[in-house]
This record gives sequence, structure tokens and C-alpha cells, in this order.
Amino acid sequence: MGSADRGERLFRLLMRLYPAEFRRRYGGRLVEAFIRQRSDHEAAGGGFVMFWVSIVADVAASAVRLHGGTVADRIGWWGGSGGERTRRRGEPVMATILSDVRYAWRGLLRNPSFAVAALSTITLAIAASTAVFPVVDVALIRPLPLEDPDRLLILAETHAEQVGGGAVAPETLRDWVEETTTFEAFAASAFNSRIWVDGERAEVLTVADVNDRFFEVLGRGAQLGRAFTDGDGERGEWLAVLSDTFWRSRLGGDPGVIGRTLSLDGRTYTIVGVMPPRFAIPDGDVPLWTLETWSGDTGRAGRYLAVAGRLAAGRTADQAESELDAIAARIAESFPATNEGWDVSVTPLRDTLIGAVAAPIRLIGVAVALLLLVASFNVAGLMLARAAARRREIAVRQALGGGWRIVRLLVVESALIAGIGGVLGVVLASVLVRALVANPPIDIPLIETVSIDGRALAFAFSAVALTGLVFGLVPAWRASGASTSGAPALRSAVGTEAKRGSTIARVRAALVVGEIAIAVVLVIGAALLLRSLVALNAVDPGFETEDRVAARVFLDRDAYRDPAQRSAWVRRVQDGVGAIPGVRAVGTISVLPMERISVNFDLPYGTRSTSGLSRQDLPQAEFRVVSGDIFDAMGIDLVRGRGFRESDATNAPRVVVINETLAAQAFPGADPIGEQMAVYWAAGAVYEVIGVAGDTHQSGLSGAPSPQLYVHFPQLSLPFGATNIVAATDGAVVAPLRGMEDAVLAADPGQPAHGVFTLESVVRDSIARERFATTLLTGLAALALILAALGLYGLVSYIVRQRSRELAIRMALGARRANAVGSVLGHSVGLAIGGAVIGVVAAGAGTQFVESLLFDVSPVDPLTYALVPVMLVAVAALAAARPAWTAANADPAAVLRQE
Amino acid sequence: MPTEPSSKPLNDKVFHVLLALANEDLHGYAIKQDVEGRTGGVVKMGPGTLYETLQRAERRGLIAEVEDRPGATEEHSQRRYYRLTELGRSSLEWEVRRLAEIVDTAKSRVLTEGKGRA
Repeated sequence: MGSADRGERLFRLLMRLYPAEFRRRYGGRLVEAFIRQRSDHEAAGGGFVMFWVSIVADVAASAVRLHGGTVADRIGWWGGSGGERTRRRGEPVMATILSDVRYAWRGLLRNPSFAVAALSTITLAIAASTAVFPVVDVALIRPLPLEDPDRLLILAETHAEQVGGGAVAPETLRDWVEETTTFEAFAASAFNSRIWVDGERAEVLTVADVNDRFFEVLGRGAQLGRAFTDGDGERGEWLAVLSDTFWRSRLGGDPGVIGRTLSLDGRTYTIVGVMPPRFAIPDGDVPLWTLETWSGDTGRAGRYLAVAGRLAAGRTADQAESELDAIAARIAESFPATNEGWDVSVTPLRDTLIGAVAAPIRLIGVAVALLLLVASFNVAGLMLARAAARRREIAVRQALGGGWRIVRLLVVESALIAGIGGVLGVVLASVLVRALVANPPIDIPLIETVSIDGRALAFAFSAVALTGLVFGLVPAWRASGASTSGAPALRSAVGTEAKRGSTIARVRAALVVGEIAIAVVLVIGAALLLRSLVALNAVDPGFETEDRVAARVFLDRDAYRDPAQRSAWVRRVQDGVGAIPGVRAVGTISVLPMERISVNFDLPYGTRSTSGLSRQDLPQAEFRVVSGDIFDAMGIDLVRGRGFRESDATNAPRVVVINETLAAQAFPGADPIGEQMAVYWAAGAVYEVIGVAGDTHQSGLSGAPSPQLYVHFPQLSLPFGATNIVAATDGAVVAPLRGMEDAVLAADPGQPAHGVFTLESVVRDSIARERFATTLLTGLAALALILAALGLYGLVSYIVRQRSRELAIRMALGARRANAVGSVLGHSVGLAIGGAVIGVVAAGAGTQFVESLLFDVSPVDPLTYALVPVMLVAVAALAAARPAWTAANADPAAVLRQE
Repeated sequence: MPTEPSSKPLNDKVFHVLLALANEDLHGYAIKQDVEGRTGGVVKMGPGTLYETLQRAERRGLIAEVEDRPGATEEHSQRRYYRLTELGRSSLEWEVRRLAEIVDTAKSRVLTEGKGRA
């Protein structure tokens, strides 16, 4: 029919008014409707004109609306037809927000499992990261709390072949002060034990002797009175500056303390100032700083000063190093006996301060970041599920025009959860930090300055809260049709419900895989550290740790200048300790194994085979001055020969006991007993080897034993350093510890013990760093594991809900329960295996964070790498078991009715 | 809460489309016939308005296209049928309740006034 074709052609022309997308989709149907309407119209006897008027009006009106909608969609969701365009006029903003908060709060109460899961995740993550981050920050990131810390260099004399060193001789420092141009000034300090007599009481204080420019170089002044200043040293006065802690705890924080005096080592020191809190150099335990000039001639071999130099303006560390090297070379030429082969090392202050703890702190920092990531993933998954569960509510509200409000409610709800979690997290973190600072498990530099700060909190909070917000909002946004830009993605909230559900399940699955992967990484790290710790604990330290007590005494240099006096004192102490009930052997030793020492105790020694060597080329051994039954008292085996006897006295032939390492080094393949050995303390003297003792681990359980020689106290006693009194008991520890303190005081009321302790604690403290890292990482790994398991549990529950209809039908059709459970479990285990594989690869790639902390365990230890993923998969199966079981036990009829 | 203050009533035409689909799946032209028949031609649904409304309802997830309708004859097999979604049904119920409340309110007022006058 020609006319019909013409009418149809005209209609098709009119259709050009429509947006192209609408035309493509509905073109055929529009034409069909047009044809049917025309035939209906004709059948009803309607007129031609009326028909076309209605058609043109219809097309024009709908075209305008369609274009309008598209434009509105393009502008953005707030202009979209579905959005609530404006708040009602006059409605107070605060009231709206409050009502939203109330609504969100009720929503959380209605769904307590979600609230608890989200809150605990956020709380734990924020607490862990807020507590740990400041430690990492203080130690590794923040500028040191000193003036211009980057210009501060730690300087030390070093010798290529000597392990000790790390300190500077006062005379060498004087040369530096006079000759260098690259430094503005030097700060020098040395720990010293001084006996503080306060009325009736005598107490040992480990004070820091410092030079007059010490505080100036570090750039800190006193909070009360003054610090030492340039020139103080020349007046020969005895001056002291107090630490804030000492001032408050021992002197009552009395501001009138300035100008008063203290009796230290029998000398009267005038208090000139009090430093501010948290000034913790050389360490946080220093009660006071005493002015010292080290003017006595201790020789260039007496290297015991810790020295920091402040670079002059515009000078670099390299320039300083070459200048100091040149000076060192000149000194070595003038004093070859003491300075041949000695160089100067230049290290930034931070590196020196952080040194040993950098590795565990870095590891913990990484672990906390990973935990934060797991927590974020978990919150994301929770919010996604929640948004999905509320899709219906959201969509209905949106369809009715409440789209904007629901988005606002979701924001408020996320903020509410994040806010409560944040507050709880900070409370928990502040408890943790306070405990950490009060009782630091390891010597973290500047730990005194650690406190929760806003940045740590802000970091953790935003990480978790933002993730929650984003993942909570995006689905809501999409469901509300808000983000549309003519997007077919929004075609419906329900028509593609299954697809949308599976999209959310896919995103959540990805999040869970990520969580499991991170948990695997952390658990592998923790497992490696645990294995390493077990291996460390299994190392035989070379001495007994059970039923062994010790006391440390620093003899007053001036009072005990005479060796006879020292011997008499040692005798009195030994007798006193030996008389304590339960003590079966007593001895003294100058340096305990694993004791941290700042003075170089390596001495050159000579044997027949070294006769051709000059003194600089002689091998070295650590020497220990001992007395009494020290080998018995410490439980060190005597492998050959004998220990010292009373008869090895001052004027008797000189004798020495060497350890196995030294025996193998000095007398390879020969019996050392009866051999001669020259030991060069000052002039050098010849000793006869009378015994070989078992090795002890001097530098910690993980270190190899070093060559050591033991000399008898009456034959070589030193006028400085510590004396450790060690006693073996028959089982009791507490009473002997107290008895030792009294016995030491009884030997000389002016020489109290600096501390009593057990040898067990010595070993325990030596692996504190490893134990600290292991404990923390294990805790963080456990948290990550729990969060990952929770995440998986939530996901499986969600999937089971999604698939409940399918599962019900399968059950109704006679599928076996085991099959239904199996299909759900199989999916979960598949995800877990995926995560575990990624985790194993990631752990293998991140070994550098843990490597330096491991002892006797490979960072890619096959057992760990095999067992941890298996464990994680088992945990995953466990987490998935309950929801899977619930699904399988559901009544199919009930499920189908629900649908 | 049908009278949720910020909720907006369903678009009139969308409402009628949902109502048309309340009891059975229909193809486009049948919807038009149902709406126009039920309202006595007060609500007009030309081809453009019809599909514009259908598209809007579909985009909001209130209705969905059904490819195969059980029992469709050969002849009409390529016709697209529309079905109310769950969301569409609840939105419709919501709107009906809202309208019912308005009617109730109106009734109570009108009747009270009427009695007063009588």
C-alpha cells in the first residue's frame, strides 16, 4: 500500500528527532506500534488529520523528554530525573545530619554482626598501626629532635683488623679540635659509673661524662639553668647537668636545685642546669651529665670517647672524612705503635643511633602496612556486601526519588563506623604505646620520644575509612542510577540482579584473595622468625644459664688505684658471696658473654709461630680478667688442662687459659698446654697456657665464638672497667640475688653493686631484638589471618545466599548434601589456593625485610613455604564450612518460597 | 513509610505501565491498549511516549524485557514482552499505598465536611 508506505516513511522521518540510542533500540517496535495504532485508528473511524496531529505531538513531546533526560544524565546524577534535586527549604542542615546519624545508628543496631565485624576490623587495624607507626616514624623517618641533625656525624677510630673500636682517644680528639676546618665543633661523651652519696645512701649512677661543647653541638639547651658552654672546661670546675627524669624523681623537681651540689665519687659537683624531658643522648637512662676534659694522659691507645662532629656550614661528610683521614695518617706516622693502621669512620648520626634495630623496625613497619591493607580489604568487602544487601531498599528509594538521601545515609553510616572504630582504635593504641614506652622490649633509640601523633592516626584512619566509604558508596551509587552518563550499566537494579550479585561476589572474591595472599606473606614471615628464634634458643651459649646469678660492680678508679687493694676487695667479695647459703661456686670476670661493651678489649698476642711478625701484624684475642672458680661458677667447660688456682698469684709464673677457638687459631693441630704465649697489654708479658676452655658466644647466640684468653686477676688487673661477680647456686635464685647485693656492700660500703641479675636474663636480653620482632610479627600475622578468615567467611555466606535458590533446586532434585557443600567449599578453597600462591610468590620476593633477622633458617625455607599455605587453605576451608553447611541444610521448599 | 518526605511520587505514565503489567507480561502495544482502555483514553500513549516510558521504567529496574514468553505463537514470537521486576512490584505497591493514604485522607476530610454541611 502506497499511502501506508508514505505514512511509515513520514513516521521514520519524525523518529529522527529521537536520540540515536533510543532509535536503535526501539525503532522497529516504534514503527510497529505506529502501524497498529494507525489501523486501530482507521478501524475506529478516526480522521487522518487527527491521527497525524496526535502522532506528531506524541513524537515531539517524548523526544523533548528523552533529550532532556539524556542531558540531565550527562550533567550528573544530581540533575538526573531520579535524584532529589533540592532539600526542602528551611530544613536545618544540622537537624538533617542528626536524623541521618540516628537512622544510621539504628541501621547498625539492626545488623549487629556487620557492625561488630566492621568495628573490630577498624579498631584493630587503627590500634595496631597507630601504636606501631610512631616507633617506625621516630626511628626511621622523623628528623632527629636535634638542631640540624643532618650536619651531625658520628666519628670513630677504626682498624681494619680489629673488631672493637668505634671510639676515639681523647688525645686524637684534641688533634681534631685543633686541626680540622670541616667541623664547627665536636661533642664527646663516655659512660662512667660514679658513686652518688646522698646523705647516708650510696648509689651507683651510670653518668655521661661530656665535654663542654656537647650540648651546643647537639643543639639543645637546658629547660632550667644552663647547659655546659664553650669554655666551661678550662676553668677546672666540677659541673653537672641533670636529666629531667632524675631531677623530678630523685630531687623532687625542685627549681631551686640550680647552684646546689652533688657528691659523685667523693667530688663535689655544682648543678648548673636541667635538660628538657626526652633529651636522650647518649641514651635515655642517663641521669646526669658531668663535665669532663679528659686531660690526663691516657695514651692514644685508650679509645673510649663517643664523638659527634657538627659539620661547618657548606662542608660535606666526604670532605670531613678525607680531612680526618689525612690527620689520622699524620698521627699514625708520629705514633706508629698506637695508631698504625687506624682510620676514621664517618657515619650520619641517624645510622649510628638506629643501626641494629633498623631491620626489625623496618620489618614491623612493612607488616603493619600490610595489616592495614588486609583491614581495608576486609572493610571494603563488608561494605560491598552491605550495600548489595540493601540494593533493594536503595533501588526502591531511588525509584521513588530518594536516591540522594540514601547516598547521604551511606556516607553518614560509613563515617559513623569509621568514627567509632577510630576512637576505640586510638584508645587501644594509646594503651599499647604507653606500655611500649614504659617497658621497651628492645633498645629502640629515642623510644622516650614516642607518642601517638596525629599523622599516624590520620594515616591509619583515612586508609581504612576511605576504603569503607568508597566500597560502600560505589554500589549504592550505581544502584541508585546516580553515576549514569547514559550508561547501560544501570539498566536495572533487578533485571540484572544475578549478574550484579555475581559482580559483587567477584570483587569480594578478589579482595579475599588479596587478604589471603597478604596473610600468607605475614604468616610466612612470622613462621620464619619463629623457626629462627627456636634455632637461636637451641644454640648452646657455652655457659650455664640455670641457677646462675651475677652482680656488676664498677670499682672507683681513684680509690682502687693500687692492685693490692683491688685484689683484697675481690677476695672480700668472693668470700662474702661464697658464704651465702645455696651458693656453691663464686668467681669474677671482667666482661660477661653477650655484655655490650664500649671499650676495645682485643689484645695482640704472640706465639712461636708469630715470632717474625711486627706488633701491628700480630693476631688478636679478646682478653678476660677472671678470679675464683669462674669456670665452675659460669659452667664453662674446661676441655683440657686446668683452671686457675690460688697459687697462680701475683708473683707466681704467669699463666693463661685460652678458649677452643683461640687454641685452634694459635696452635693449630697441637696441644697448647704448656705452650708459651706473649700477651701485649702494655709492654707485653709471656704466659704459659695451662688450660683450654669451651667457647662462649661473646657477641650473641647468632655470632660465631671469637678467640678469647683468660688471665688471672692477681696477675693482670686493670684500674678501670667493670667486675662481674658470678655465682652458681643449688637451685635458689631470688635469695642469692639479694644476698649478693649485701655481700658487695659488705666488702666496701662505698662500692654498691650496679645491678644484680641472672645469667639467664643475659641470654634472654641478647635475643630481645629477635624476640621482639617475632612477637610483634606473629601478632600482626595472627590478626591478618583472622581478618582474612573473616573476609572469606563473609564472602562465602554471601555467595551461599546468592546461590541459595540454585542450591535449593539442586537439593530438591535430589542432589546429595555432600555435593552441595562440596561445591561451595570447592569455590572457597579455590580462592584460598589462589591467594596462597600469590602470597608465597610475594613472600619469596620480599625476603630482604626478614633476611637479616634470621638465624640458621633460609629466607626461602622450603618447610615454611610449604606448610604455611597449606595451613591457610585449611583455615579458609574451616571459615567456609559453616555457611556451606547451613546452605546444605536449608529446607529447599522454604528457600524457594522465599524467592 | 509511603509518605517518606523526600520520596517523589512515581511518574504518572510509569505508574500506569506498572499497573498494566501487574497481573501479566505484555508486549508494548498491549500495554498501550491496557492503559488507554483502563483510563478511558485520559492517559494517551502514542508510540513515542509508550517506548519512552518503557525505557525509563526499564532503566530504573522496574520492568524487564522477556525474550521468550511461554505459549507465544510462531507469528508473534519476535515480539518483546515486558515483565514487572520485584523492584517494580514493590515500587508499585508503595505508590498504591501512598495513593491510598491520600485517598483515605481526602475521604475523611471530604466526608467530614459533607456531614457537617448536611
